[in-house]
Amino acid sequence: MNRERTVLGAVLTVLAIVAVVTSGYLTWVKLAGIIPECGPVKGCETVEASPYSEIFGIPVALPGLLMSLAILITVVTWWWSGDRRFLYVPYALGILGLFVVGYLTYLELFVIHAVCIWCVAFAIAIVAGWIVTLVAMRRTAASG
Amino acid sequence: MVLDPQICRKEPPLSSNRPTSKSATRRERRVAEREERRRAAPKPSGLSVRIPPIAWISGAAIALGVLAIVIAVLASGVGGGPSVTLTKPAELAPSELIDGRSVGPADAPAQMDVWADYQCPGCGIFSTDVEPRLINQYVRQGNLRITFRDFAFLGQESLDAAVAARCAGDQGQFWHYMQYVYANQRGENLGQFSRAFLDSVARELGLDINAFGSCLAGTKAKQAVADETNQGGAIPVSSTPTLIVNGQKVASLDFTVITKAIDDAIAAGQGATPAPGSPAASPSPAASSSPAITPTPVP
Repeated sequence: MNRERTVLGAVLTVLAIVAVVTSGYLTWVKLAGIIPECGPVKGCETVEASPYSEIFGIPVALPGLLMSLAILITVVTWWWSGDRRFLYVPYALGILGLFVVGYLTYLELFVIHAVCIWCVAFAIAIVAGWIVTLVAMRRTAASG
Repeated sequence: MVLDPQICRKEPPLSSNRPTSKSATRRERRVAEREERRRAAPKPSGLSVRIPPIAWISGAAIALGVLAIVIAVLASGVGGGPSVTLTKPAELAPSELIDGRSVGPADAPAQMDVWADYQCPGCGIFSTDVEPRLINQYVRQGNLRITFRDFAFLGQESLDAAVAARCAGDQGQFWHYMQYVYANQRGENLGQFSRAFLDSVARELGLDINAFGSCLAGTKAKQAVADETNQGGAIPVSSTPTLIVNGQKVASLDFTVITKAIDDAIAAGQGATPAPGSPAASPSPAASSSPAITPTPVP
């Protein structure tokens, strides 16, 4: 395993874990009917209680959790195997995620008028993960 | 790949007594032949172009992303946010008694101002429980005029609801809109009074949703709410709801205390006193007793 893949794989894995944890937490509090822990930053309880926090009766964070898990699995697989094809999954899901977190951020800022710190962490993990995936794909292409 | 037989026939004999120069010539010929074959070959149609995986993966992901947004927007109701289940007020005030943000005749002997925040629980109880009784007991007889006053201090949702109610007022539906908001209270700053909710109430009342949306986006109603809240602060309103009858603060939110204040005002025939609760009205010293409704103190 070359050093570049080691570093990129570690970064991607950490970002995917952040996405899994944040979306998992939001899914859990929604299903359990608990007000999310916001710490000093207010707003996540407003977002979580808003009608936009679910779609077709399921927590909107649940598809995010499934997506994050798929990203985590494929990123770790690439990290260990070095097979570049596994990067296509986080790459494609990352694009999908960009649309979704973009829309959800729009809702937070302009419709719900509250920002959820957990949602921000998820969005950052998805966007940063996609960018790092792009870097990994370019580097692996360059190295053959 | 099929080689062009004509080109194959042009291949020179392999025998040569000058290998270096001959092989160089052959290489040159081969390059030229390859170039010729490339030119002669039919141009590939669009369908046969080999699309790199990254391109179709990107395209598919973008298409899925767009689809996801479309589904999310559609699930939210076209342009109107998600559907919201509204609780209808138990008793809507009679339309014939409503006059803008007031209910009751302008010349009623008792004039009551209700300074309230849309998220304050006590204001909710007052609206859903006390106010209908006052309407039946006094307003219908022409003895009382109740006027709603904005004192939005509990957060963004209080402001949003206050602005929305005023926007409904632009279409003659302030009072019923206000009643709907109070009938659907659910905690403070929990996302209940979202844009989707505010739009749902507007639709329920048959408002022109475009005009309503324009009003929400504008600054006029927001400024009016802010101005009136500042006026309330000058009285001063120290908790919500604060009731002022003919310029005098009602000492308690107990129903008997409220009705006594109204009865006294009617008996004193003070219907022509300055607009109660207005900045010009002289504030009375705050008093307290055991209230039937727990007021929300202003910090």
